[in-house]
Amino acid sequence: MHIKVNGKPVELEYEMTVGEFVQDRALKGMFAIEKNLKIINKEDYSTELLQEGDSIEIVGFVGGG
Amino acid sequence: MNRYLKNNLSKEIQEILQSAKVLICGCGGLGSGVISNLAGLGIGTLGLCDFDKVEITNLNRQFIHKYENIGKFKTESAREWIKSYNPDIEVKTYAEPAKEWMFSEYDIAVDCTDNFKIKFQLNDFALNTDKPLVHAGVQGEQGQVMSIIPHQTSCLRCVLGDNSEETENSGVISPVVNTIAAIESLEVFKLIANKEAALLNKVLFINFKNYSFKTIDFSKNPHCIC
Ligand SMILES: [Zn+2]
Repeated sequence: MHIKVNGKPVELEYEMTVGEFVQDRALKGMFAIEKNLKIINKEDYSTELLQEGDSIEIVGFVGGG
Repeated sequence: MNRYLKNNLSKEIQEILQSAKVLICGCGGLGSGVISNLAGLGIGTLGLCDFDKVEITNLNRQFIHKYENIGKFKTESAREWIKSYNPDIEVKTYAEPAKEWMFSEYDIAVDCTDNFKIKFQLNDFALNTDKPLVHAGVQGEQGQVMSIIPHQTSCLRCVLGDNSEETENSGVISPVVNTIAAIESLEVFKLIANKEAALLNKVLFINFKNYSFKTIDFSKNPHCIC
């Protein structure tokens, strides 16, 4: 299955939820996930399924001042 | 009022700024930029909250703190700068961690702190006291800004969930942090002068590497405590 992550093509070996994608990539720190230009609430990570052609943006927040 | 002539604002708006009280949480990199911008605008009362003292490593970007003030509380050093620049501004200082009661005494708070644990705390103080908050973070070549009107627009927890893990901050160069501070100041101005802001229910992300400015919509999260 092919999706785009931050504009770059990525191949996923199997169908997964946004939550599994986050785990798979070991994403840490402060971030939000935008799927097809819509922010996915953290509560919906475990049910939101990634599909062929989806475009994912990992939006990182920084904490310095 | 000649001092503010080149603000090119109406007398009414300038008076609204004059009667406004803004709490600045953090007098470091973001705080220095916010303090100087708000002092220039003519905000009547500035509250300064920071428990740190001025260190030599601050002086790459925190222009309001003078070399001779190394070792002094940043709040005192910042008060000195404000008074030398615009003696009409009333200044209150708190050389201690930010507390909820401080928010109650101001119209708006500005997050100029340097870690997410405190950023989430400030978010909750704003919710509990119903005071607008301008959030920002900056690191390396990246920064973000958002404005929050409690219970009406999305808050930091709507956006990031209950995640408040510590993040590591290794530093930032002055043009980057001062740009983010300038945008925070502009949001404070909009909230006071127009009772609204440009960055409500959205976050502005700036990548200074390629000058990408991107706003992303974050609507209020129905699961959020706010
Ligand atoms: Zn919220």
